Amino acid sequence: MTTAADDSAVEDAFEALLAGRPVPEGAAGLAAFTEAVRTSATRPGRPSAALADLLATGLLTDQSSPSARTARSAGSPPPRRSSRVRIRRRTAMIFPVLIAKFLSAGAVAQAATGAGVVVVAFTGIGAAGALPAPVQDTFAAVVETVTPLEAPTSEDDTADTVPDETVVEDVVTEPTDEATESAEEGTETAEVGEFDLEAWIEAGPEGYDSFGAWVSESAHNDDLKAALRASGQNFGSVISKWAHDKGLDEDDLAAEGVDLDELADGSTEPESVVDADVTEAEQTQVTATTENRGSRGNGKSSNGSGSGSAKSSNGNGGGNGSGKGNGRN
Amino acid sequence: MRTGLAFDDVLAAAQAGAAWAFEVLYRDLSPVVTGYLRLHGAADPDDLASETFLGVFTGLAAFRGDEAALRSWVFTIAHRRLIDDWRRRSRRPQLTDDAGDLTVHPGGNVEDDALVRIGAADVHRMCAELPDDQRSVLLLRVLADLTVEQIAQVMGKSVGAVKALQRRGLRTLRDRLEKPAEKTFVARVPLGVRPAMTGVR
Repeated sequence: MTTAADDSAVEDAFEALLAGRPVPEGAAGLAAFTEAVRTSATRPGRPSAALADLLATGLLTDQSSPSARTARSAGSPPPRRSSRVRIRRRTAMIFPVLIAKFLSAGAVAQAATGAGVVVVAFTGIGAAGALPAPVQDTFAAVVETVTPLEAPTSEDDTADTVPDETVVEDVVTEPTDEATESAEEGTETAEVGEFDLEAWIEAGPEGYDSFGAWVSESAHNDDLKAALRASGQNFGSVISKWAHDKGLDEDDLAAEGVDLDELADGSTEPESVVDADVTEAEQTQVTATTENRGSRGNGKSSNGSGSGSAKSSNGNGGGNGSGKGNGRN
Repeated sequence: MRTGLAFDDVLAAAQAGAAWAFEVLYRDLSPVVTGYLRLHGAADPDDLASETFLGVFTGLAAFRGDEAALRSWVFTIAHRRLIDDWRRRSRRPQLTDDAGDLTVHPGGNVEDDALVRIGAADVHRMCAELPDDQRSVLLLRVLADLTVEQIAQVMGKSVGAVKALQRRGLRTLRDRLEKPAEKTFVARVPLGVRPAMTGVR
């Protein structure tokens, strides 16, 4: 029969067992049980895929705001931080983790890591040609011997100037691309709308920065070309008429990049004139003109100077919608 | 600790999301957590343990306390996962009518006489015979090395209730085991001095 004294004795034995003290007589079975329980719990569990991933990569996110996470679990959508903030915080978390990992590594691993960093830094500096002259020459010789690559030597002083030239070229090239895009946009719009040739002839170079800009843009207008063909008119004759009205002689037109003879001969392909004669600087000007054209066209439209003007602006330019109300008065 | 790292350093790194710190904590706590779930008869103790540690690691940033408090907190999560699993599966540990040969048989070898052994199957069977609460108290004391007060927090019961459960559980165990010959038993490895944060690279 079990008594309270027996219970107390077993409890005492259990406490002694857990504390690592000798257990009294009669508790060997209990000791065997605790030992067996402990022995059965020495093998780690097999982590699930999610846990294995977490153990491998850790949590590189900011968890310093547990209250915010609690509020999120209440049903409201999670607060969306901007990607830049998340990237900055994630980056800020990486370095402490890397440092902690480095400090926790063994001496050999730390030495190997340090040597690796030095080698990478030396290689990078050598590839950039920033080493001292004798070292740079040796570095270049070793690289050219070991690899098919060529490393800069100390005599390669012109390397620094190359990027500058490239930058200049890029600056010149970019407007040309924009001009092409603008022309393409204008073409796409023109395909949708109907070109008003009469309005174009009537408006002439009005609203353009220069006569040449008007000619250049018109030369790229496929709808205009089609309308000219349909009406049997000549692109060059129209340009010539406006040049005459403006009082421009051949020299003035040449300065604008316009050759009336070629325009008259090649009315079916007027854009070739512009492509051949317009300089890079003028292409930049064309871009500026194209960009201005939309607002001017809209201005005409909003001013109600005639349905023809409105159609003309629609046919020529992208940006009609955004420019409404911004036109000249 | 064997790692040369203090618990505070490991905890701080784990709270910052460092994978190596997660691994340290997992290697230290996973065996006992998985064992606790397995001896409770969980259908998939590995999966439950994984759920437990996912909850631990993702919520670790809000944790405040020492190593004992962390251990208690981890087992609190494991215990809740276990109860959820019971409710979800409506499955309890398999009870057997025949307890089998649980009698301790001291052999002729001196060491075997002192270190009476019980097989893993017997341990599972004995645990399965215990009511859930009694089993929880005994396993948390043996495996998790928790105090009665900590177990009361884990199980959401009063200290007196936990003491009563422990008393009844030990009585049940004693009834299942034949009292061995009068010998003084010394545990091979005292549970109270079990090193923490083991298995660190």
